[in-house]
Amino acid sequence: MRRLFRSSIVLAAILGAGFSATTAGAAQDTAARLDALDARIARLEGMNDIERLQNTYGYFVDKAQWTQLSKLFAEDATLEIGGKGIFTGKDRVLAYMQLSFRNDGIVPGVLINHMQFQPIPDISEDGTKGWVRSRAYVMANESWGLPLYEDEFVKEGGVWKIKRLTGPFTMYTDWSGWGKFALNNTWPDKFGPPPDLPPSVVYLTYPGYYIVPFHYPHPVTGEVFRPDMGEVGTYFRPPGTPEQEGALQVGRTAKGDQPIAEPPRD
Amino acid sequence: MIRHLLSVSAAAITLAALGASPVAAQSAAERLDQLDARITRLEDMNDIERVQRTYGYFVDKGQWVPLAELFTEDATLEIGGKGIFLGRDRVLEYMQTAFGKDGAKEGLLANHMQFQAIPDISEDGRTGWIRARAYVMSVGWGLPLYENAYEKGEDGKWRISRLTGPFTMYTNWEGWAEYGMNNTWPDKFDPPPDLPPSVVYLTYPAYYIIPYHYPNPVTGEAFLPDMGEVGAYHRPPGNPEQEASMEVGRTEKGTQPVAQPPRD
Repeated sequence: MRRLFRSSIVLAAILGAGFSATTAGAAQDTAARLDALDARIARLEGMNDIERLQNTYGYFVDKAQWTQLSKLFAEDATLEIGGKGIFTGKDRVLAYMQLSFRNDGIVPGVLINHMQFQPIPDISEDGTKGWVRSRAYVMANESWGLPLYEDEFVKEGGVWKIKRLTGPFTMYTDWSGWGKFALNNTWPDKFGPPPDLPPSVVYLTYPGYYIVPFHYPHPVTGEVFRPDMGEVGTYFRPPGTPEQEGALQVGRTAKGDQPIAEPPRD
Repeated sequence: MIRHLLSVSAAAITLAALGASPVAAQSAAERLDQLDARITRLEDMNDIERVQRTYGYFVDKGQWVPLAELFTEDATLEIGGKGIFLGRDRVLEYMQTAFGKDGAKEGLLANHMQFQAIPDISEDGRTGWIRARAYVMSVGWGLPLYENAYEKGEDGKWRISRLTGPFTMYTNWEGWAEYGMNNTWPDKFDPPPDLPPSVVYLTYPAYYIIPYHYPNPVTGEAFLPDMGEVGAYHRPPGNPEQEASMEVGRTEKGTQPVAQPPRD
């Protein structure tokens, strides 16, 4: 605080001096530095703001506050959770929530805690887009699950909103726990409503695995993560190996689940 | 925003060149003050999150003396349905009486994992708020949800001025699908509180939405809480089922089986 105050006096002195090439140059430097500082602060504020949206999304899911939740999204936002497919537009986000999980307000005996953590926020150079990789630990009535988010945010009229929510599952299990049972994924017609678009990627959850592409490069080397495009299936083995090819053929059981460590029933 | 800032900078340079600098100098100084205030706000948000997270680490290992030092002299503490404790000394007494003297006990796990913080700082930079939660692993498992307040002291240090941690769910080792404790209450364990609970509610399988200190981040709509005795939100507030649920008593153990009517 004191340091900044002192530099503002220095700045005032510089700007107060009469015309000369030197002072004009100094003023320009100062103005440029002010702009650079402003942009850096705005970036930090933006990172906070998009984390706030992601965390608030979690609190709203907890208590089935769907109307409030849908207002966190941009008009043309998309939502894709698990293997259910893509819902396009803010209204469809609300429809998805209310038709899949009932109207606003939680009901007796329902627990759908969506605990949010481990965010990696980023803001675009121009300050109008943001991304968060983060995760939730879900405690539901008689199940537990692990969504992993790669979400996009947009700043419209000075306000950050969710532009794309993508929450593939790492693992979902019932009350017996992941050592005994795992749901291998959801799919478009598992529960209503049907999606507007098919899933952007087909994958299976634990005991299979799918690496959700990272929106950001390796923080140390700067290497970009290269995702598999299209149908990745499940990464039982490294992509390109015969085992992985085979895994693409793995079907779901009628219930969409499979016992762990046994071949899928079908 | 950027365009606006550029034009201000350009004006400053032009005015400096003309020798009519006082106005320009002031606006540059103002800009520095504004940037300073924005940085201070970010620093304050980090500081109160640090205090909240540290609270969690201190609970983990029963470090009650340093924990109490995170609170202001006149802080209040309210956890679960136990009622309100007034002042830093009572915070310490609450912890030491309820959970034993300082130091983790052998065979005792009291992990209080802290996350999902939504920090905010008042305009004048003296007060802060956090909505956050803990995932507790202890003899059972539980979910406190915090809406806390913080104050910046004359020494520039942030402290907890109000800790409010109602429970979303608490269960024993059988897990929440089998068993749910519906809440604690003032005389469940020692010491007794200084004031009764600020709100009476039941935990899972009932629910209570803790009022949000902040508005909807996109629409700016404020969250309107039910004031007074909310009981358990078995049904939307105001309808007969909800009215009836306010009469629901606790069993002698303060528990109820999940998805069955409470025993009484």
